[in-house]
Amino acid sequence: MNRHLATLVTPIWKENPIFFHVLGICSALAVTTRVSNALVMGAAVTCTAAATGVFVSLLRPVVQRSVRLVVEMLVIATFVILFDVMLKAFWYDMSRQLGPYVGLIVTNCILLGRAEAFALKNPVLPSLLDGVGSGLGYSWVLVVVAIFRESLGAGTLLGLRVLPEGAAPAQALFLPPGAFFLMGLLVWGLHAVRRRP
Amino acid sequence: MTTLLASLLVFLLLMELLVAGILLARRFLRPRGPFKLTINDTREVVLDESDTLMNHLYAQGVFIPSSCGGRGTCGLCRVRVEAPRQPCTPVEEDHLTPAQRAAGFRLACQVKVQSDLAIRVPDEILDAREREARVVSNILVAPGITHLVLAVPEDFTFHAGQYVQLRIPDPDGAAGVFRAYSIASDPAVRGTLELAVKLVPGGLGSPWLHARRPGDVLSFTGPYGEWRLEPDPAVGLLLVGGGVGLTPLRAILHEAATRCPDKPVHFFFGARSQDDLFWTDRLDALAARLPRGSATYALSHEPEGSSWSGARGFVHEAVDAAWEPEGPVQVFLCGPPPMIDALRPILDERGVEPERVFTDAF
Amino acid sequence: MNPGDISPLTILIAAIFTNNILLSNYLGMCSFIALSRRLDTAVGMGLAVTFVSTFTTALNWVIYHRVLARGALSFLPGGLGDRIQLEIFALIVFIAVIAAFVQVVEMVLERFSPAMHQALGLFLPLITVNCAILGVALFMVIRGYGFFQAVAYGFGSGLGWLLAVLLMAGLRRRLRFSTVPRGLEGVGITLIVTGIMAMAFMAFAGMVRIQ
Repeated sequence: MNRHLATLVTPIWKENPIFFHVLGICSALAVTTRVSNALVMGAAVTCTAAATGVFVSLLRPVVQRSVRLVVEMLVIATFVILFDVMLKAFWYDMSRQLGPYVGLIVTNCILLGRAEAFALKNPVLPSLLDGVGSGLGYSWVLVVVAIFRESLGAGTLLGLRVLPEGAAPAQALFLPPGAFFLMGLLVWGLHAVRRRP
Repeated sequence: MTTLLASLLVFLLLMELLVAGILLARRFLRPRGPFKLTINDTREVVLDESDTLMNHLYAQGVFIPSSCGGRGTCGLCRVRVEAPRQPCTPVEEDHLTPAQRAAGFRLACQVKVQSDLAIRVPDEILDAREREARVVSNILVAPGITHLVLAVPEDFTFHAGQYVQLRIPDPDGAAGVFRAYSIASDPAVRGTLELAVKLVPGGLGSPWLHARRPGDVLSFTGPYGEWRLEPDPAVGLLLVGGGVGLTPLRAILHEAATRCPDKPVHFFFGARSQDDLFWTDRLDALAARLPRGSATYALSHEPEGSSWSGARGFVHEAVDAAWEPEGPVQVFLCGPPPMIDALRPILDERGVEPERVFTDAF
Repeated sequence: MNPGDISPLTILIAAIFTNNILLSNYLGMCSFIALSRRLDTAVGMGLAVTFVSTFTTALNWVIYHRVLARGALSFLPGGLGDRIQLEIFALIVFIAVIAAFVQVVEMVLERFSPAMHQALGLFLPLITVNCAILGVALFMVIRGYGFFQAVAYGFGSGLGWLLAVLLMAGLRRRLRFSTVPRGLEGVGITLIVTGIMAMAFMAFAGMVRIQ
C-alpha cells in the first residue's frame, strides 16, 4: 500500500512534471488567467492521464514495440476528444474560453512521457495512480499560477471580488509577459524551497 | 447506424490514405540494394536492404562492441569507413576525437548503408564469434553485486582488462541486446570466466543476469578492449577501482602476479561500507604474491565508531594521501565518472603522463 | 472584422510579430526551452518547424474543409453526407497528417539532400510532438481561415517561432557569462527573459491586428 501511495505522491511534489521535467509549460501559461479555467484544464489532464495510463498498461501484452508510439498517441487523442466533446456539450462557455488548448493536451508531453516511461512497464493500478498523480501535480501548479494571475490581474477569485474596491488590478499579469515572469519566479521560489534540507 | 458506419468508413479511408502515402514514399525513396559491403578487404557480403551498418554487421556475425543497443550513446561501436567518405552526425561528434573523425571513424549504429561500403574493424573483432557459456555459480557477494562464474570453451583466450558482451534476451522477442561486462578472472586459467554484475533496477541486462542459475546456458562475444598491461617490471602500476569497477583490475592483478611480480603495484578499492567490499581475501592473496605490492580499501560511508580499521573517505583521497610514483607508471582507473574526474588532477600533480592513464567510466 | 476579409499578407506579418505563436499563444515552449541552448540547434529546429508548419497547415486545411467539415461530403447519395459528423476526428487526423508528413519529408531529404538531412534530420522527429504545429492547425479551424490565409498563418507562425528561438539562443549565449541567482539558472531565467521578449514584441501591437 505504501508503495502505491508513493507512486501517487511522487509526481505531485518531488518529481513534479512542470518543474522537475519542464513538461507541459505551454498550457500552464495559456489557461491560467482564471482559476476556473485552470481547474477545468487540470481536471482534463488528470482524467486523460489516468485513462491513458490504464489503457496503455492494459494494452501492454498486445502492442508491439515498433507501433507503440502510434498506439499511445491514439489512446491519448481518443480520451482528449471525449473530454472535449463532453465539455462542448455541457459547458460550452468554458470550452470556448479554453479554445484549442484542450485539444493541445494531445501534444502535452506529460501524457506521452508518462505513458512511455511508466504505463508501458507497469501493471494497471500503479499506472492509474501515476496518471492521477502526474495530473494532480500538473493541476496544482496551474491553479497556483491562476490564483496569482486572477487575484492580482483582475482582482477576483473564481469570479468573487478579493481586492478592495479602488485598488487597481495589475493587468499586466493577464498579458503574456506577466505569465512568463510569474512562471519564472515560481520556478525560482520552488528551487529555493526545495534546496533547503 | 448508416451514418455511424459511413463516418467510420471515411475516417478509416483517410487513415489508410496516409499509411499508403508513407509506404509509397518508402518504396520509391528508400534506396534499395543490392549493396556490397567489404570488411577489412577480406570479406565481401551483398546486402539487399537499407539498414544501419550495426544491424548488418550483427546479422553477418561481426560482433562489434556496443552497450546502448544502437542509440548512439555508448560510443563503443567505432568502425572506420574507408569508402565512401561521409561526414559524421552530431550524435557521433561527442564520441569521436577530431583525429578519429578525420581518419573516417564513425559509429556503426549511426551509419545507414545506402550504397556500396568498405569498412575496417579491428581484426580481433572479425575473429570474435558468438560462443556459449554455462553458468557454474551465481552468488551475491555484496548488496546488488553478483559474482557470476561461467564455464567457457577452452579455446577462448583474453588479456587482462578486456571485456565480453553477453547476449540478453529482449522481452519483445527480437534477437536480443548485448551488454558489456569486464572479465575479473585470471587470463592464465582457460575455460573459466568470472564476472561481477551490479544490479541496475529496471535495467534490461543486470536483472536477467542476476536471475541465472547454475546450469543455465547463455551466449557471449569477445573479448574486446584495448587495455594491455605493460610487462616491463620497471614500470609501476596504479589500479583504482570504485565498487563493481574492481572487476577488470582483479584480472590485471592476476596477470601482474603471474608475469611480472617484481613490479611496484598499488591497488586501491573504494566502496561505501564494509558490506559493499567483496573479493577482499582473493585481492589480499594476490597482493601478497607481489613483494612490492599494496592493497588499500577506502570506505566512504562507513558508520563512525565501527570495527573498520582501514582507510575512511573517498578512494581518491586515499590515493592522494598514500601514493607517490616510483618512476614511470601505468594507471588503470575503473569506476563512476566522479571518481575518475577527481583522480585526474591528483595524477597530473604527480607528473603521470596522460597517455599512460587508462580509464573506464560507467 | 470578418476573418475572411483579412489579407494573407496581414496574417503573415501578424503571425510573426503581433500574434507570435510562442510569445502570445505560449505554444512550442518545451522545445523552445530545450533547443535554445545552442545557436545551431535553434536554427535547425526553427527551419524545420517553419517548413513543416507551412505544408501541414495547407494539407490539414484541404483535408478539414474537403472531408471533415460539416457538409463537405454532401455529394454522397441519400443525404448521408450531411449527416456524417467528422469534425470531432479533426484532432486525430491533424496529428496523423503531421506525423506522416514528417516521416515522408525525412525520407525525401535522406534521398535527395543528405546535407539537409544531416542538418535537420535530428529535429524532424521532435516536431511531431511540438505543440506549435498542432496549435496552428487548430487555430486555423477556430478562426475560420481560407486556404491562402491558412498557409500564410502556418508560414508566419513558423517564422515567428524561428525568430523567437533564434533571439533566445543568442541571449542565452550572453547569459552564460553573467551571474544569475542560483535557483533561477536554466529554466527560470529563460522564462523571465522570454517575458521581457514578449514585452518587447507587444510594441508591434499597433502594426496589424487579426483578432
